[in-house]
Amino acid sequence: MKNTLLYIPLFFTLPLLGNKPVINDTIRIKEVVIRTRNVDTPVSGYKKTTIDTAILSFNRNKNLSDLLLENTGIFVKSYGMGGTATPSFRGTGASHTIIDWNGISINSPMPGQSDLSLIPAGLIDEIQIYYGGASMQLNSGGIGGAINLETKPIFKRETIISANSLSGSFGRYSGLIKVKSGNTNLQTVTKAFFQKAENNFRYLNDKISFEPIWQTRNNSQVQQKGFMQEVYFHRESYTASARVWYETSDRNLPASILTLQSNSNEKQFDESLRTMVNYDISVPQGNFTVTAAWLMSRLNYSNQLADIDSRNLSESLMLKASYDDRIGDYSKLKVVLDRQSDLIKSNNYDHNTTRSTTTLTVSVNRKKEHVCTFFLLREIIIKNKIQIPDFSAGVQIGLINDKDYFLGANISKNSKIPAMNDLYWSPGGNSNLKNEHSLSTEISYSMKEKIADIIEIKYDLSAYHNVITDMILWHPGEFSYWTADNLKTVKATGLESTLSANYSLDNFHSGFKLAYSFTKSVGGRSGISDDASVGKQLIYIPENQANYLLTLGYRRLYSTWVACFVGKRYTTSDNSEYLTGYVVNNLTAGIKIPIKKSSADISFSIDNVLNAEYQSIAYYPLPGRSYNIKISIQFVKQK
Amino acid sequence: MKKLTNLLLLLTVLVACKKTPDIPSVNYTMGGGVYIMDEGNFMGGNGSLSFYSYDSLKMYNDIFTKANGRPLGDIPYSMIIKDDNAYIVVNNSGKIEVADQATLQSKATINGLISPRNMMVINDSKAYVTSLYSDSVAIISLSNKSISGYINIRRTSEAIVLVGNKAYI
Repeated sequence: MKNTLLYIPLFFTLPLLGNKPVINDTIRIKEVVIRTRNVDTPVSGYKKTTIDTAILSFNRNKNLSDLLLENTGIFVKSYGMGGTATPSFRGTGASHTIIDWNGISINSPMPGQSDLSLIPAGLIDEIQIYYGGASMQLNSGGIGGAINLETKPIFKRETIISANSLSGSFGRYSGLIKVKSGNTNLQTVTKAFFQKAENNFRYLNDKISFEPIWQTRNNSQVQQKGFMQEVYFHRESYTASARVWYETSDRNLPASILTLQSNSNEKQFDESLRTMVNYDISVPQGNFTVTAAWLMSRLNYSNQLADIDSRNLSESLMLKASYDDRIGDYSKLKVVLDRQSDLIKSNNYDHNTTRSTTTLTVSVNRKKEHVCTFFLLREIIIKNKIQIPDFSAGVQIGLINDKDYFLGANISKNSKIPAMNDLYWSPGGNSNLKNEHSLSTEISYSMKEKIADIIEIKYDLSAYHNVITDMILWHPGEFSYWTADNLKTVKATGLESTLSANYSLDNFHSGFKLAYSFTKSVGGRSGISDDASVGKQLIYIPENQANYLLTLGYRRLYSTWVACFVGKRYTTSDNSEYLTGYVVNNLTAGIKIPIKKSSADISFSIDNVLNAEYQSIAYYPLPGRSYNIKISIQFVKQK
Repeated sequence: MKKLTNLLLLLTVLVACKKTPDIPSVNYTMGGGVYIMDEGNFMGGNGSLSFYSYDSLKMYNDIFTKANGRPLGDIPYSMIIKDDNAYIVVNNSGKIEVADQATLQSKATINGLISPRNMMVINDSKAYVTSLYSDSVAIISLSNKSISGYINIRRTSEAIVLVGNKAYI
């Protein structure tokens, strides 16, 4: 019996960390060429992490919000599956996180943020996460950080067709099909997805009445579908690409459990069309890249009871040109010119509204021996008005020769232009708003070590301090509606730490990852009289958050255990009310079956194994224990 | 094996313990005063009840939540006092909270009403509740603290007054 108990953890495991093959067969493959734009240049002294293909592949049926919550220290505030989900990076708000698609911001210009529930993980090939000042390498405005969603080709003479389906509790179904085909010069990638959920789970409502009542969540159905088409062409010196991403989301919005459930009839329809063309060319003097993108986003919200019929359409045209070149033996210069023009048509604005911004960024990255330095200067021009320049400087020092032990530090002054809703929403928008500014400092330590070629250990620790001034807040105004103003100073201080290890021997693989983040994000002085939020933690930002991931695999079998802890979150700005912390455990077990060069993968997972009762947003319950079965098939045909 | 079993049992006990919040009983109405109702934001569930004490000249905010450890609900719209009980009509939560009128500690919740608006006590055992979105007036049994029936008036209703033995809606 004792021995049996010892084997139980082995059942819940998988080789997810790293790209460890499950099958121990050695297959020699032909050389392939992976080409992508130069968004991903590593820069010293900043924190940047990557969610790689292995984790994305394993989570391809999830959306970006679940993926980030389970695998990073980023807190995601979510209304539940399919419901609006927004990120909070290093103690900042949702609009302080920039979401990019291949280096182009896809944040809606209206609220200035992205709904992570509308981004399926299955469409993305790699996710790069830029923390704090590191985000300035990508775009402006990411006071908290930035997330870049990469879709990139592998130039290989083969055709891969993969199909993935999931069926689960609470009427959940999803499907994803990918077709990749081409040769060493031309590649086409087609991805299509569908997702549907009833979300009709049971929960105990102990807030509505004298005696707790079991209720079933209603008006919570969600349906999403879309596709992405990519075409890539490359020769020796250049690569050209075109991408289209279309999707729709139709969802009913459940009400707070404090209201009569049958009264709820809120609905939201989202539609987005994103197109992008890109041309990279290497010339003797350096690399030149041009990207043009046109993005359309539609959001219609209706609430019959409240007599609201909100219709919103935004279109953005973006042009981005960059040039990089070596200066001497140790330095690299990069110049980026970025132009974005937005058009908003909304029945919540007084009239159609436009805005154009131009950004010029110059950066120098220098590496000599064990010291790397980086400096960036950025100028933003809005409606022909020059803003106060932003800058960032970082340094990284290698502590031991030929070993991966590093100390890093950076200081950044970043700014975020007001969202269009803050400026023009009627009523309450304030066209006189100033930019929000942040001054952040960060020190970090990181190491990576291999022991006896079978164990790899990674550790990193970062401490940061960020002061945000002129933060925009909506507050009760002089009249009967709320209005936006630059009111607040916020000081965010925190620690982030990640420890991971991989072990691989013969047919057995294991790995674990433990991430912890401490975030103290405190409201400072504000323009509100008798402001009770001064000195208090910002709402919906947990001080403590941790993730745990254990993976084990033996031959074709694999399993994972993911645990996610989110600490206490205040729900009122004077910190008088709060949501208690929670731990959610997810378990998965599966088997991979190779069939010649193709393969099948069948897995079973239990989410929220311990049936924890929890809420991400006050009075919006999240599901208890649920079950999913997933089947994936992949056909490979080499030409 | 026995030690392991004992350990598991101990863990079960440890995780099963849940501290019940200790909510002090406060008599707000000593010395007299006035209740002030705040509807909050529609669909926000942040309505509240305050009491202004004539005796201490103090304002006590959010007293229902403080007395019961749970929010009052979405759009508390009207309130009447009958004997020792306060009847708080919470419109968009579709309910009436029955609480001690001095301490606001909850005694019962009358659920299942459709957009209730105003309540009128007809006699010692019966009250009527109007409805914004249904064509009936609900009859409330004050002794059972529950819905005892409906009067179909074929249209929605708002205010209600009692003159003599007639209710005007």
